[in-house]
Amino acid sequence: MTQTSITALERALEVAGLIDDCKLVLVDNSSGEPFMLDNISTRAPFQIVRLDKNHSFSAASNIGARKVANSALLLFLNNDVFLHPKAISAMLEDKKLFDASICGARLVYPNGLVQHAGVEFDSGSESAPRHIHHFQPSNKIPRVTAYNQSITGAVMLVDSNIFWDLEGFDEIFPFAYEDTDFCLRAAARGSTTICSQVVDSIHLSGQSRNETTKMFEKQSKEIFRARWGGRVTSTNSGENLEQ
Amino acid sequence: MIYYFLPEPTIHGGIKVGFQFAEMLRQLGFGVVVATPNGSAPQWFASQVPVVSRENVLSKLTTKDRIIFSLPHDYEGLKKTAAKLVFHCQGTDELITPILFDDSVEILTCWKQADDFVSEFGREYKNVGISISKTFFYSGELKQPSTFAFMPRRGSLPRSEELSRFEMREIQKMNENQVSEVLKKASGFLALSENEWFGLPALEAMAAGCLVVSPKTIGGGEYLKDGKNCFVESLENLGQRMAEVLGDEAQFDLIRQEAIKTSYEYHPRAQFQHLQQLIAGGSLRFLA
Repeated sequence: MTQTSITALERALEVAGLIDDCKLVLVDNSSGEPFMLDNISTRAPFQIVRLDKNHSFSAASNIGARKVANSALLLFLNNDVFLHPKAISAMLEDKKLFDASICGARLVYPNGLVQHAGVEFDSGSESAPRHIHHFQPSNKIPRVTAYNQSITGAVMLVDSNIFWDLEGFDEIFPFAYEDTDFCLRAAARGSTTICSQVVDSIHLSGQSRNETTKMFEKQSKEIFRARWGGRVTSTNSGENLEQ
Repeated sequence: MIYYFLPEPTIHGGIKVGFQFAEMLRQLGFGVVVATPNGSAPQWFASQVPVVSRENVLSKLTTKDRIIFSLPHDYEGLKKTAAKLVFHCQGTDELITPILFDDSVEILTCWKQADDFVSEFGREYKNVGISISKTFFYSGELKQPSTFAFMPRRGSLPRSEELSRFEMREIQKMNENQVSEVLKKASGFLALSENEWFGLPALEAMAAGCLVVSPKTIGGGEYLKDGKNCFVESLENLGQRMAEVLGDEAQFDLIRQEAIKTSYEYHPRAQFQHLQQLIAGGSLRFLA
């Protein structure tokens, strides 16, 4: 799966004309069977960061990002995402057009239903985030890129200076919600976020979920609610004030 | 950084106007956030604007920051900060006067009544416009005959025999989507306040295809055209006027159509384009 993901990534980098100007960092977050350089084939300069102890998604991502800290742009990519060949070029184009600091990509399940097309929030005191158009057929959703309050960290292209100004993903989150928290913190500083809708990339999603991650996710949700509940605007026009 | 300071996130037209303006500036590429007490975000209308805590912002303002504010009560406190001030004038009140005498404050307005008020002080201003949320625009819903909507918090319903012939729908404690659903199904909207600065609810009702019956208001003169796109009538005679109107179906439809046409002058797209022109012409100095 990881090799397929990297191959798709490199193809997308090639189409975007970036294959010779990038560096790939694979963060092995204590996989049962460690990734070995000999087992991964890449064209771009490549590095594996092995974490023998399992870290949170945010911590592991920050560690990986520090290996390429001087880059102008950082692309975070889950290893269960298979980018469309035009995904990165479309993201770069949209990012420039919207003058956005953070850019995501439309992601679909293998059956073509939308997994991610940006994040919106429930109104009210919970401010719970949810994927826009989740489980709807992607080919029925207009391909109009627009501003979003947040995107998933499964595919996130971000200006490096913004990322480090915010000290990366907040490692207080054990699992999940760190990406949304990051986008909201960036927005509070005036940065904008978009989700490129031009092409579909495949996201298997939830490949590493188990009972432990479910527990961590619950903890993250509580932290998110304490930090952002009632402090996020909603695009679904408000809670039911009669309740 | 540009901060739009607001006193609270509760249901008040000025709050929504502030958020709409901030959202458009963000879409035009400017870093704008709204600052409210404790960073509370309004939950009664749609928005994507980030909200931050007023208290936190006040402790770190520099000369590079700009503050837009619309509540005159905020002026005294904000002028002590290092930030450049921009007053978004949404009304005409004697509390505003000291702000208009302060030449260091840039003045923005959003409707004609405020334009006239600011002009009396010889102040230069730019009208940045106002818009109706997209959710209110009529999209062919079936209208319920003889049903009028009204907002009790804007004024009490006058006692009248004619009014008892209508089904009256209260709009109270509803979010924007719920309000738009009521308006899109109602035949008309009864405006009850004679002290409106602008009267956004009446304009929202026009967008929703309602026949608006309104008393003469301070700011509504900009868009309320008696007998053309609405009926302007004193509160005592509202019921009688409504009965007359509903008796003439052709006129009723004509006025509703004209009201919808008027409302499109306040479509978000129109305000967005207006702002684009102002910015291209360098008229909004605080954005330079």
